[in-house]
Amino acid sequence: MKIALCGNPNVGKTTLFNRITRSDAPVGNWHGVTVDARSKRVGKDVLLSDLPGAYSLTARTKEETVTRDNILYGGYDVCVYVAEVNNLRRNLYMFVQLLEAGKRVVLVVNMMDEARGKVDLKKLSDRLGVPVVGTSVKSGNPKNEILAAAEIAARRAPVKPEYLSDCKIKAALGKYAQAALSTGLPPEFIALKSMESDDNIAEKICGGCDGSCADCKSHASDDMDYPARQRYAYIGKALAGVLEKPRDIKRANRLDKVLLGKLALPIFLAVMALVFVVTFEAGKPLSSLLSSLTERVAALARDVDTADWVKSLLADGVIAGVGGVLVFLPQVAILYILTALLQDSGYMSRVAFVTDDFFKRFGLSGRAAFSLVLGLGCSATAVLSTRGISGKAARRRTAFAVPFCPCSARLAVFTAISGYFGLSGFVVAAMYLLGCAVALLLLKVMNAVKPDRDDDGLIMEMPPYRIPSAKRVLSVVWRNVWAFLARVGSTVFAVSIIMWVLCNFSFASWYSGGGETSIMNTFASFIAPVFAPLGFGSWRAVAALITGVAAKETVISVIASFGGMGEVFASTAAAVSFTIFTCLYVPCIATLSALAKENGVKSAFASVAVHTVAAYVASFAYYNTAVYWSVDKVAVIVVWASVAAVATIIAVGAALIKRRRRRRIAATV
Amino acid sequence: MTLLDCKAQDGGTVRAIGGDRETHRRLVDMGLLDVAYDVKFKRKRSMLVDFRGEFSAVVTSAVAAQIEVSKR
Repeated sequence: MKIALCGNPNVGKTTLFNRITRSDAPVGNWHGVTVDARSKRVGKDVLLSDLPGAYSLTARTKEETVTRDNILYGGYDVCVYVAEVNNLRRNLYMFVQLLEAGKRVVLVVNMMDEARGKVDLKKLSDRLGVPVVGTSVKSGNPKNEILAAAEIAARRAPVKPEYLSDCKIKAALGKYAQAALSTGLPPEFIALKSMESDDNIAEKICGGCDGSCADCKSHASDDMDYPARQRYAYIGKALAGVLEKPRDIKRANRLDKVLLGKLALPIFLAVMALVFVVTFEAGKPLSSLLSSLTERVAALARDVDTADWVKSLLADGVIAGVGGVLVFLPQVAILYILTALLQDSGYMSRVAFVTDDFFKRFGLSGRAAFSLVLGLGCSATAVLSTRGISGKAARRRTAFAVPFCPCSARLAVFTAISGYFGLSGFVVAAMYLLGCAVALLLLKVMNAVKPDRDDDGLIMEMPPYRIPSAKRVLSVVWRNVWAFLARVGSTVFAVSIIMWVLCNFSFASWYSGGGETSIMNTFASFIAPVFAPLGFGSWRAVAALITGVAAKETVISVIASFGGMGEVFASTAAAVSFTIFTCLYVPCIATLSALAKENGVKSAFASVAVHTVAAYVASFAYYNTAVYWSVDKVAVIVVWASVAAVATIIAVGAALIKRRRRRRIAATV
Repeated sequence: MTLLDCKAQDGGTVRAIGGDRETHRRLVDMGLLDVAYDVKFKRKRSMLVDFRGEFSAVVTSAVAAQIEVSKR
């Protein structure tokens, strides 16, 4: 039996999926966590698929299209529809459309422990004619109850809401008999969707048309809301006497007054600053402990009585490489704990409202804040999360901006370099600011060259405030820490060994013990001069950067296997310049493939070029300023003042042109 | 009058939903037809509105301008 788990966004579908299938799929107290269908077997006979949240079977975003296509054409035997107990009236709107589409449905009323009044599920089941199951996180695993209800639903004939026999719908049925045959959907459903001018149905009827031809327009009803009014009337009748009048939500209102009031933006900035300070400072003692442990293990490996090359492979290749990255596990784990707490509490969704005005200036929407904060953990996941953003331009721009927000792997590089050179935690914070500033600058330029005239039509539901669940937060942290360890155990381990071989073997002799004759030196020396103006024109630094494209953690493992920072960087200025370059240069392979998937291959290549140029320019500017500052301060000030003057002239010119264009458009109108 | 004309703390009922086909559908699908509303916060480009005391949503100014309301 094939079962689809569907419903509105943020009603707990994935949490239920995890409980039924004993999986660990990502969950969160915000909309759009699930962006693709995910399937898993339950026993031998059942295949359960978790679908992204949607408000109706008329799709508007990419994730809603996935849900609609799966439900209508996925060949599922039963749809398990999840609704939230405090939002039944709205949540049942899509449920009713499943009935219209002739689907066999089980209704799961979730979050029963948060019900703001009594709910009579037995009465609701009788009224709707489908099995109804009540669940909550505090109850036991509802797997057996839901599967039993699905079996009952699979045996029953699909329920037809009574309004489908309305004369207005019946009169239209004849027109859609052919379309019903070809799509396998009931003619009543096609009639209702045609009245609503649904593009997907128009395409099915008209063969490739987007619903704009005269024939399609003739299907649309004069009263486009007729189907919706029928559905809400049906839901109203079904819920009469089922729900007790809900209590007010005073606590949420009080919290909103503080978090969304006049101090909303400063509070958000303070929260993010606190996240970084805690991540950096709280992780230090554990990192030092792991670091000394790595050194001891490496020393033990050097004392083993075996061939020199084996000792070097173990100590300088594997232990230094893998250990060099593992040292930053505490910081990575703390960052994930804090961001998971923010997401699970419901605060992250409020951030979308707080930052909407600000992001609009750069052609993004407030929804971009989710993806950018997710990007602090993993850029690839964050790029995929942009699917939930409505408006093509805003979606593409957010995906473009995400990799500039340093991920947890880059945090390891910043922390290692600033730790070695005794730089303050502000250098790490400055890297995050730099990444965001460069992204915003580029978005501003993009917006000026090609303004986004499409309003993304943001209407985004706010999830309720919840005390973060320890189980959910630990699950998020465990999944991400495990992914980090998996990368260290696979990519970092492999790259460490490959790099050790390339750096310790030469074409002329077998084992050369590193140095200037190594294979890596031969290759990297070709590219190294390009980076000389940035202060790190050594083959070792270039080799570390090249491997960083596979995964950013490998930058540190490679530097460690070369003998540490002192062997790679000639000065503190060169090390900071390298940090800036690492902060901005090409995203890792996983992020690039996510970008190619969401925005296209061309866009991924463009991203590589933009990141490389931005990284080069920023590092060049920093390094040369730092070097010449000690030689001739006046000259440096004059150069920067000139740059600022030219930038101001360009910005003012662009603003004037924009204003004139806007006036001309206003005059035309 | 439209929802955009309301100030923070204003309340009333959604009377009709305009806008292009897609926006209209979206708002109807979200359950905004004929519901009571209360504006909680208003900013330059968006507002936070409580609908029916059941859920809150961020509504951009462009969308708010498409929602016809009658004030309490």
